[in-house]
Amino acid sequence: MKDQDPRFKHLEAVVGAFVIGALAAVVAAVLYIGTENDLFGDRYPLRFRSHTGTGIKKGMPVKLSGFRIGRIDRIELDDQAQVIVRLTIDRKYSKWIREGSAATLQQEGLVGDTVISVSAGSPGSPVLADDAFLPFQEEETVTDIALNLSESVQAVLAEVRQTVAWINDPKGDIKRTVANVERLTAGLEETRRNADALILSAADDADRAGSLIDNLSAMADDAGRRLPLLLDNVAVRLPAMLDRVEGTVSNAEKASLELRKAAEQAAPRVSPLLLGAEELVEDTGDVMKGVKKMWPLRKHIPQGGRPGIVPGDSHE
Amino acid sequence: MSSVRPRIFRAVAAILLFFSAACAPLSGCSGPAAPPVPRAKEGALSWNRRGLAAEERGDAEGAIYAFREALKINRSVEDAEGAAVALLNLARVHRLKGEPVPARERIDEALLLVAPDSPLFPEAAFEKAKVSLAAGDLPAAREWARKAALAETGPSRGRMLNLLARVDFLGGAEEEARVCAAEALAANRGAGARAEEANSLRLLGDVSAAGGDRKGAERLYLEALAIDKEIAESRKIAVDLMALGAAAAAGGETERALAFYGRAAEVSRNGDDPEGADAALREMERLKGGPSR
Repeated sequence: MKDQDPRFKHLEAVVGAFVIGALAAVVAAVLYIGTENDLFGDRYPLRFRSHTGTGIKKGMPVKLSGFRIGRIDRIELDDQAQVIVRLTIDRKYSKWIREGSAATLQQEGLVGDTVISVSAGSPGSPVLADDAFLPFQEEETVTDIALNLSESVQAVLAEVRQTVAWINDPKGDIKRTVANVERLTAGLEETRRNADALILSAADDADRAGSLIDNLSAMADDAGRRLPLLLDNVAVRLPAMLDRVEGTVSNAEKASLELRKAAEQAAPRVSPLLLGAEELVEDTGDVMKGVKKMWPLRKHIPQGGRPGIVPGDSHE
Repeated sequence: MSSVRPRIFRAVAAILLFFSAACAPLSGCSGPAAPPVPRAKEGALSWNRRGLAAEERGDAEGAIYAFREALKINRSVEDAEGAAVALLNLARVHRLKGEPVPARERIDEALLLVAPDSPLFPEAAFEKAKVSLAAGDLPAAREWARKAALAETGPSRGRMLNLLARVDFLGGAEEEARVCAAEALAANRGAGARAEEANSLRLLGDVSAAGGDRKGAERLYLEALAIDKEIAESRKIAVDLMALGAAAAAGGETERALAFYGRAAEVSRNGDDPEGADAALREMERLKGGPSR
């Protein structure tokens, strides 16, 4: 039966072709994977030393001018607890890695992968030997930039705070200068008045004018001392008062809004309610009229007749 | 909250309907019903009833408003009797409120609408006498009180006679006052008018006291006091006590007089009559020889 069935006529050839195809696929896959992982090329080993292994992972791509040229093969600690990172680079790219080349940890864009970037060395310099150490420069990541920026801003804010405190310091130069100016202005005004008064009346009484000047000067000094206090008091209390007023107005506005909403919601119900109540009152009135006319109630309820008179008294 | 009032109306209506249904079999058991009252007259009567109720509870303003509404409706249908009653009531309320001018105007308007043979005439004449007495016009008061007493033949005759006796007494005609008051007392007793009976007794006491019969006066005052306490008339009780105090003081019984005045002050104070209380206290101060308040 086996020899005679036409379906088994080329069985050996078919099975052989299937097996060969499968093997070819496996070999192709192995070759592809090996090529992708640099397993088959001539490898050029290099190293660099870093203070920290943060952000560095095994298998991380190594790039030169944006082209992938290798990967991180191994990460280990040396006797000084320094991180030794071993790179495997395709040998064909070694011609650009010379003295002067350096490795950096870079982030591709704001949200991109982190890669090891190797810069090209000087054209006249010799190619680095296998397992040579590349100088490593850690480039700032976004987090680092943000942290640095934050520190910078904090520093600026601290400076601003110090400056404001210095300006507000009652014993500081600014406040004292302003106070002096105010005092001087008040003094000038008083001096002008004194001068006017002196021109008119003090020519014949120098002693009196001197006394007047002294008094006025004292008054000016007193006013100069009180005015800044008053201004400071106002400056401190006014913002708080305005905040309270604003809060009160805001609350009033909210209350008004709520009230209006409530009125708008209730308004449509008022008219039907009143109409209903009126109708019920009328119905009740009709019933009452009917009851009043019924025996025996009508004998006890006023049914027309003569109107009553307010009781009179002979001795009120 | 908004649905409570309709529910109450519904409940009241339901109760009344149930009561109507329960009483339906009894309808017609006592002869034919009274003829229907015209709507306008019904309205005027309703306002008049409201005015009486307001006056009874001491709401003079409410009473005046209600009687004015009744007057307006009565005038709109030319109901002279209804208008006269409204005017009479208005005059009485104004007088009790201490407004003599509108009281006189209203009662004069009422008398224009009331004929001498009208059943309303005695009451109108009585009110005219009271308004005249309040104005200090004793002759007019006596004239109108006499007309009222002559016209009245019903249960109010004792009241009319009491007023006439009082006007006579105030006018110095003590004998005429005593005779008239005695007739009033008999009429009031016959009519069962307890308040006016007490008025008659008090007036007879006044006449006795004026005639020097202090004991007789005190006895009459005590009788009046007993009736006024029986009918619980606070102001009248205070008046009786004041009269007893005056009689005791006239007899030199200062302590008894002070006791009567003290009771009168207490009654007036608790009866919301500060003027009466003040008068009693003044009498007490006078008796004690202190400064008059």
